[in-house]
Amino acid sequence: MTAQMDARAAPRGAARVGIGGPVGSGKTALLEQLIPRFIARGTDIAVITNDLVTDEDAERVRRTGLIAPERVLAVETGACPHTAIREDPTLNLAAADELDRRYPGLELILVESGGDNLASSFSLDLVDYWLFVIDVAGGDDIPRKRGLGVVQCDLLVINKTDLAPHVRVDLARMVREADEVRAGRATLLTNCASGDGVDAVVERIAREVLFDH
Amino acid sequence: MYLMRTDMNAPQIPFHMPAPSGDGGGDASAMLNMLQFADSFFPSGATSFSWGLESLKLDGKVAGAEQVFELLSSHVEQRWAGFDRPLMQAARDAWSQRGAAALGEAMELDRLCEAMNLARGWRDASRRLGFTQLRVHADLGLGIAQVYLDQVRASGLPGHLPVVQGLLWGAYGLSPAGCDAMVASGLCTTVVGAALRMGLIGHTDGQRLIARARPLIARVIASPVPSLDELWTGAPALDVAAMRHEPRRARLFAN
Repeated sequence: MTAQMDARAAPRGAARVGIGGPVGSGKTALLEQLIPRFIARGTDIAVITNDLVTDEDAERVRRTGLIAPERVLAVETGACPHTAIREDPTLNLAAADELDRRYPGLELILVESGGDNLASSFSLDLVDYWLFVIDVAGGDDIPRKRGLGVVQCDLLVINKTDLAPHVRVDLARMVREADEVRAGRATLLTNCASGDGVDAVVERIAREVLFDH
Repeated sequence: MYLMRTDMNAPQIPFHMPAPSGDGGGDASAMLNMLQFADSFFPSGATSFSWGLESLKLDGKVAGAEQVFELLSSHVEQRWAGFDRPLMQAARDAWSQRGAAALGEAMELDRLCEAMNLARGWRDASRRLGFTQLRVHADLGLGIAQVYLDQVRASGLPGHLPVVQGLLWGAYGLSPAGCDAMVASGLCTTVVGAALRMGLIGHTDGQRLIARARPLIARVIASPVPSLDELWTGAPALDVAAMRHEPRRARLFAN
């Protein structure tokens, strides 16, 4: 005997935007730059972090004072970070559900993945849109390696652009090769230490996810 | 007895549910259902839980395959057999016999599970994993999962894993023995997978441990299900491990 199925639509809460990328590429730094900008434009936001072993990233975001600490939830991954954002995102979905329940007017949840490899990606059931953050210090050959994250993300962010001359990276070539492998998807440049380029990231999320103009 | 009444305030199921089931594990469809739900590929959140293993490793109490097996045996014989199993089977029976009218009974079981779960690490894990089961099965379109999920969201009902499993799998018409096997197998896979990721064992030892646990599981499944008046656990080392895990800041697993 099988159960009667009923295709009732699941309740839909805030828009969810994923932020993935390799270890040290600047995901948390980007998060710290995005939060005040979204708050300044009046977006009701919350954050979920996926730390590998500690709640370091969640604590770092809470300590900034940029957002109420209770709006930052940490999910334990128990495995490589992509497991919790792709193969089995159920605990992240539960955390998002909890935030939706706590804050009825919530508009945007930023879901930060733990640092992972170039093949990591987000489940389409977890996020509406996702960013992949790489940095110039990781090498200008990253785009042409065609990692899943680089190729498939909605928005590729190349961070630490200020370091390019110091690590002998040809930034123009890196961008050109990113464009070639991404088949028209957007790539933006940032320096999250100073905030350069972050406004463009906010504008793109606002336009493509929050449908603001 | 705890659970002879039906909650008159329980919400009505707004659609047809299957008639009370018999042994649904005998046909191929039920078998495939069980394989799907018990597969570690099924999104359940289980990967994030080590069930005391990480804490015992950090305390230097577990260092290899033999100790992992001891932990696995304790979970099967000293926790699951006397606590989670009877709760799951009671919820499954309730659904099988009374269908939607069993919802209030399931809620009572849920509250009982909350009250009798000693360590916060076990309690929180059971609630979180119950929620993920409800969420996934609701998204898959199982009506009772959506109804119970709504109760958890709206009224703070705990949504404990064994009760949720019993209710949902009862709704799918799965057999009592099949449900036992799914839970025990899932527990083994979760603990062995955690041991593998922590570097305590290799993949071959992992499979050996799962095979070695089989007679234990079979023995438990062959024994009568304890009544709800007889719920028990007897694994103090695991309880202490769960409690010691709570304040740890550096940890890979939730429990």
